[in-house]
Amino acid sequence: MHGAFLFWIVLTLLVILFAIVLSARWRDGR
Amino acid sequence: MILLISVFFGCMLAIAHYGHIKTGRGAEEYYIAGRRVGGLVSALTYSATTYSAFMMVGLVGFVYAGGVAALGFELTYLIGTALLLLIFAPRFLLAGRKWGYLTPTELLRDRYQSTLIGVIATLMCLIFLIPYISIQAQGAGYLMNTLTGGGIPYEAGLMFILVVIAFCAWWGGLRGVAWSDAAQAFVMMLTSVVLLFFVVYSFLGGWGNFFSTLEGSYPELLTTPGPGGFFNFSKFIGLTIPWFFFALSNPQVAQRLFISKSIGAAKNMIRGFLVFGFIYTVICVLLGLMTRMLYLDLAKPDLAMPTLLAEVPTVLALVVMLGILAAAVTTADSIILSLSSMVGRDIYRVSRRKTTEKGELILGRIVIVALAAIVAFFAWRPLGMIVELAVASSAGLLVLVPSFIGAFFWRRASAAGSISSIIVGGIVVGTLYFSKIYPLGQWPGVWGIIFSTAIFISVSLLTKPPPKADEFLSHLREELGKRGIP
Repeated sequence: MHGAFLFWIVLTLLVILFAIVLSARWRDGR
Repeated sequence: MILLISVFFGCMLAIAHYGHIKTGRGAEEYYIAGRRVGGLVSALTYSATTYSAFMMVGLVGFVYAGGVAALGFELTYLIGTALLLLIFAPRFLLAGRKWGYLTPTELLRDRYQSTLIGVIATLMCLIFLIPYISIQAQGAGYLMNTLTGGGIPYEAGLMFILVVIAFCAWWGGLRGVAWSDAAQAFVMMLTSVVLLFFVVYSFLGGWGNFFSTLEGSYPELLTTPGPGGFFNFSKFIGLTIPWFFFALSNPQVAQRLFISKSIGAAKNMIRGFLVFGFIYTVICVLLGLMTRMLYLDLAKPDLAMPTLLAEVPTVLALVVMLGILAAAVTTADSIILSLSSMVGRDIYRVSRRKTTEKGELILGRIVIVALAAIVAFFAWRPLGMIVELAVASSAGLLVLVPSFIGAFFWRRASAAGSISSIIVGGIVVGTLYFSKIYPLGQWPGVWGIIFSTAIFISVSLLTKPPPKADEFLSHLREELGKRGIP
């Protein structure tokens, strides 16, 4: 596939992965 | 045909009714389901609310006209929302629990200790979101009219869909809306997937053939600025910036940050939404590319999806139409419910008269009916291109963003800063949109965010922050720390 297409797909997947990893540390208090 | 539509929406009304039965007394129950919604339903209602009929009609048209840049535009929205939800979802949730906020505007009002902010922000949302709901209702009316070959007159379709929208909000409350949203989110996803596979295998000879033809014969669709320079840089920025901040600026989605039953549920809401959003976006973009390969010379990009639906088997077209109608209904009923909660909470409850929660709920229901009537009035007359009108509303609401960011991250942020930034920013965006002036080639939303941010910062620095600021920020810092949230 062409660069621009892949760029957006990969960038978004990286951000989604980042969100999943970062929120994995969240826990309910008390 | 008419039977299918009736059965489908009959089911949705039944779900809304079930939501009504399960809803307890009081505004917190009615407007945010008592803050007890689980992760899956939160994710689905968030997805269905944020993704409107724009996706399968407007975005497909955008890809038809602009190629891969439209993918960048829509995925920038998803990236922005991912980042905003990571930052603001737990903050809204915890602040809402501590101080009992029902609406995003109530959060602003309390944090800045100014009833005027709640009133102005609510009016701003009414001004910009009524056109947005009108577009959804109008699109639904046209779609039913076109696909039944005129069997359902436009006005009848419009009124039918508005009755469904108003009923779900009025009778079901947030619980009814959220559950019917969840069911319709499945329909939106399923119907788009079925259409995608049908088109690939029936019209384009399979995936391999689709991609090779795309690369070989339509390379301009895979480059920016797209066919005929459709997506130049300032258009891309002008369309993208308002959508990047959509999760904060639009009350119907921001209000959903109060509804999760726990931090764990909020986490699952974010994850579920991101997965849904990514898949749904890619499907709509692929459909857009396919329509360009199938029909080269449509009069308007928005005709891409209706043209495609006219060529697939009738049953499939009907089912896909239900998916698009579902997307319109889920967005519109959520907006109407949010707006009614804001009028009740941020205008009525802060008025000088003695007010009650019962009165707030009665007024809220009257507002739902009134909004449906206003939308009917606006949608009766034809409006311009779907995408640009939808973006006009998110550009207008963009001026609320500095106030939300300041509320959580800047102790010095003041009520005067917030009020002046919303008013001046709103006037700037409105004036530029109506006069169609694009200074330095930049779109109204870009100027709106620049002006409102500059005014928010400078006026805040010149005025005193409210005493609540310290309590608000230190409480949240402590609570976030306990939960491992940066």
